[in-house]
Amino acid sequence: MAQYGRGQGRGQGRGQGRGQGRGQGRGQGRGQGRGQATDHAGGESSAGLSDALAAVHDGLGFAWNGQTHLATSPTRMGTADDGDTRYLTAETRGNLVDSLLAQTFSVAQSAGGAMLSVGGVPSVSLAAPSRAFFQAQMVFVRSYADLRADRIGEIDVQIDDMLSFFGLVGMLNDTRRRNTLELLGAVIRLAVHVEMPFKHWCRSLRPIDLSPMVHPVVQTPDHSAFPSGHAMEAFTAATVLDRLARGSAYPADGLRSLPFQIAHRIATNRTVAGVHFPVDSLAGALVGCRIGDAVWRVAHGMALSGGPLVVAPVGDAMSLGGPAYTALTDFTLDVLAGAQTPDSGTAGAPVGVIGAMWKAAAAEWQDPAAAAAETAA
Amino acid sequence: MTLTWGPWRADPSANPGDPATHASPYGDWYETFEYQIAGTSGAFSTCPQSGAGGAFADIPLPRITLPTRALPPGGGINPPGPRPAVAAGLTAKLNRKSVIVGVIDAGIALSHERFRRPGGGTRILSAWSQGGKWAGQTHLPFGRELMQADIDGHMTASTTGLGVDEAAFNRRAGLADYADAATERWIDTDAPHGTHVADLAAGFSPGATGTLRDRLPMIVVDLAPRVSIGPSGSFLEFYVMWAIRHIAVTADAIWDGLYAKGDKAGQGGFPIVINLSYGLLAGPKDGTMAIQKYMAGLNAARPGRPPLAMVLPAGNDNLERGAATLQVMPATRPRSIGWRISPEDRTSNYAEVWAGAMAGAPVAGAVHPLAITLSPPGGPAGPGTAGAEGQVCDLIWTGAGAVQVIARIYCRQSHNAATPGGATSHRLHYVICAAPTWRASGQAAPSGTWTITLSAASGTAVEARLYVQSDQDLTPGSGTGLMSHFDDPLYATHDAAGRLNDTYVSDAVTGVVTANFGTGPVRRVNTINAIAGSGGTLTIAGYRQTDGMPADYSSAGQAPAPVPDYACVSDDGIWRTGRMAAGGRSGSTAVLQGTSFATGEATRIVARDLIRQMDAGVAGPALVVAGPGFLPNLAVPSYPMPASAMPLKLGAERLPVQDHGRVAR
Repeated sequence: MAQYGRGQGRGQGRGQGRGQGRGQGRGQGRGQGRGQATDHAGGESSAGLSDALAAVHDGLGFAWNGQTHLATSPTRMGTADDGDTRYLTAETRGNLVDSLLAQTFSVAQSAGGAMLSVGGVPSVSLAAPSRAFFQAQMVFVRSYADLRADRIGEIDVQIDDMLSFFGLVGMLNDTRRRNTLELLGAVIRLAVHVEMPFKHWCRSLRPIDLSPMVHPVVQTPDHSAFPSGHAMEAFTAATVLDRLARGSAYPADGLRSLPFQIAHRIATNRTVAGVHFPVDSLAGALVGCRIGDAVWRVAHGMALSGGPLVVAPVGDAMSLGGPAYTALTDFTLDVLAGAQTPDSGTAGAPVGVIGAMWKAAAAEWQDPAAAAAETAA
Repeated sequence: MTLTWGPWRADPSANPGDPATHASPYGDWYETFEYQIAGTSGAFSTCPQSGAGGAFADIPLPRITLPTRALPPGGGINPPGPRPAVAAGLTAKLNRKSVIVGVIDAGIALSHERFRRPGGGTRILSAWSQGGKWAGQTHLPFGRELMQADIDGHMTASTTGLGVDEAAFNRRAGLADYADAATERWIDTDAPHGTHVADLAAGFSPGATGTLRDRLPMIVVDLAPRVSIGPSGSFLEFYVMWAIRHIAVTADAIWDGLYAKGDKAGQGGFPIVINLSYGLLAGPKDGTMAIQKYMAGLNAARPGRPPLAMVLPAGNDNLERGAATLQVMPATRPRSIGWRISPEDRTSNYAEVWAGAMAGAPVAGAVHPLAITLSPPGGPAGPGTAGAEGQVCDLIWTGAGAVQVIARIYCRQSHNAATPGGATSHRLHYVICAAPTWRASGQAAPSGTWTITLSAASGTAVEARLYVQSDQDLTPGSGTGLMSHFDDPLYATHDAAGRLNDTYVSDAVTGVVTANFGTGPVRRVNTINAIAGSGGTLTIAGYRQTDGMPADYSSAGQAPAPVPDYACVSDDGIWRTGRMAAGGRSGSTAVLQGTSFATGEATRIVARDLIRQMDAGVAGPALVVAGPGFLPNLAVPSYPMPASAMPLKLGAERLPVQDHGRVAR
């Protein structure tokens, strides 16, 4: 059970320990990115196989007194390149990547909320809006409820499967786009790692807490409405996928490319369902875009650009760094783009494990000739 | 807690001479009992239409309810001023020999590729959103208009690497506004009615060849939201009148601006075909509704111009038990009919009782020739006497410290001219309004079978025609607005073999078609859309393409009520129901069923026929809508059962299916 136990043990442990909403959100990234390797060279591990292996050992009849036979072993696993993790199964690489990213992305409590830092450098802070702000946004919860009959199918699937919808952008599967799927799985798990402390320190109420007339069509999660985890995860994935698919940094047409439209629909569907306010989605999306950008920077050995984005209540509105966002403003890609600093940085060479993963994933979106030329150079 | 009937008493809302109080029975009931319950009073305003500024000749119009956002500051309908120069609002050259296709509907996707020009940009010349936020356009009575240049500009601003982001377009153009709970969001659903209809009427594939696409420019009107129109469609006719006027004025202004300058001013024009896939179940059905009078006079009001044609659906309620005919004898032999109202119905229920037409101008205070008795389940029955024009009678609930009206009978009079003085015939009718059977607060009306009993005041028999009125929930898509129906033991929904009873039955072996209208008072005839059938209009029924039989839901006429003029395909087959056409976004397809969509098809056929006439050298008022050359120039389909065997359902003939550039299902 040793190796396989990770996938199973986690899935079960989390599902039981953390409840439905969380377990579902996580399951997605993991399930998609891993689980290709078998435990043993030719099949699953089992007591029967262990018994058979021991019988073969006995049958071969070698006497082994602890001698080494170094002629058959290299000095280390893998290659000399520390970024090369191809010697690992996807499962194990996922553990490694999760750990490396968790060491880089940290969230600490700050005034009224929390602050995300990347490599110790402040990136974005969120403080929850006032109760009056949320109350004013109930009009959106009502308006979007008109789309429930239309959207219920996708809302239901998106509870635990977001990646399939990003599969609308382009072919996504575990052969041609194996590295992309692994990276997307990893960054969605990273978004969960970031969103939970944000939520804990904001702990804002859900629409159902403000009116018994909301009648959400999915179970309202136990954690804070602000910021939206669906928005954060979806926009993290959109930012990464957009850059992989197009090989550029800040999108040429702002944030209106297809991955962002899909992320917007996933986030907005949570308002349609009656479990989120637009400001939750906006905050989640802002952080998600920052996470995606920071992963790109970490992968290419680049520092964060500009100072931290501070999202906090100012008077009756929310400050988004520069522009103010009032309660009667809907969450749109235009509003989101207005709060993003367009990035003009040029990517450096890939660095480390994350850089190697990014490079492998990006190569899956390039023309084979261009990828070959890059490899030759 | 008791229920009692009050006396007949004067109804202040029945006074057409006073625009401030004049309301239709539906409007009055809605304002008094339902509009408040909808909890939306802040977002809506009730306005007299006296500000119409002579737009509708002398037809007196009642108050209507409008979204406050659509009104000028200070409220009230803006008396529409002259149209500003329209040329600046157009981005593409127009073919002089074009037919303007007007579409009055809800949820029309303005950026949809099926409505674009070959090189991009829209073929929609003007789009008036009646519920749109007032933008100071003084040529409008209310709402907001986008011209072609505005639509193209919003499309350009919403263009991404993959084309137009239509969700962003809808917000930018003000068509979807989530910050206002009182607006509708049909436009953002996958199959909005208006987009589907407009596609059938005038949509083309992006790759369509030929010049037809360039010659069918569009002017569209998005109707005011459902809460304004009312669950019973109370105000529909008035919104539609404003919409028709807008299309005609805009089309004529475009022509005049482009081709009729100087000494040619006011001459010529584009032929106009307007698709109105809406209807009402109850009404006089004799052409005397305000909208019917207006439509009948449209062409006379545009002398020297080519014709304007209205295309309307027959209706979808043929088998809903909403029409009944009673031969009523004197008071000693009253006739009764059940009126079944569902429990947990969140909207009011309405029925109308019409006596036959009487000669001469209407007489103020005339008494209805039928005495009426209405009884909720368990009673009490009342009033038992005939009401006079301009009176109401209330069923009153008295409970612990509260008194509430839960049903009301209005007595009104209609006539066949713009104003009573010019009328040569008149009719009296009752409108029965019953409160919702479910209410969050306040007293609900009892559900179950109510009884309507009629007796003739004089010694001669009177034919009474009874109709249930349309009844929809205020929220589109909600199933809580249940429709009532007439209940009579003689009505059989199915025959002995288990087949659905329709207006006609055909023998599968002999092919003989026989009438099957129903043996009791509840009939499968006379179910036709109440606003259809007046002069200047075409009424379109639905048929199945596979076998040519009428769609069972497609409503039937019966003299003196009008019958459908023609039938178009509304179902591909008995199993492949509905028609395929555009969904809410470019590239999406939806299948929707109903005579609304047969109407869209007919609009296209009528517009193409006008183009055929123009190509043959006919111009101006000499163009005729579906005239003598109409059918011979169409590839009318042939079926074993001729349309003439089922005239009340199919009208004169079945019209052929058009090529919409789509694959077959």
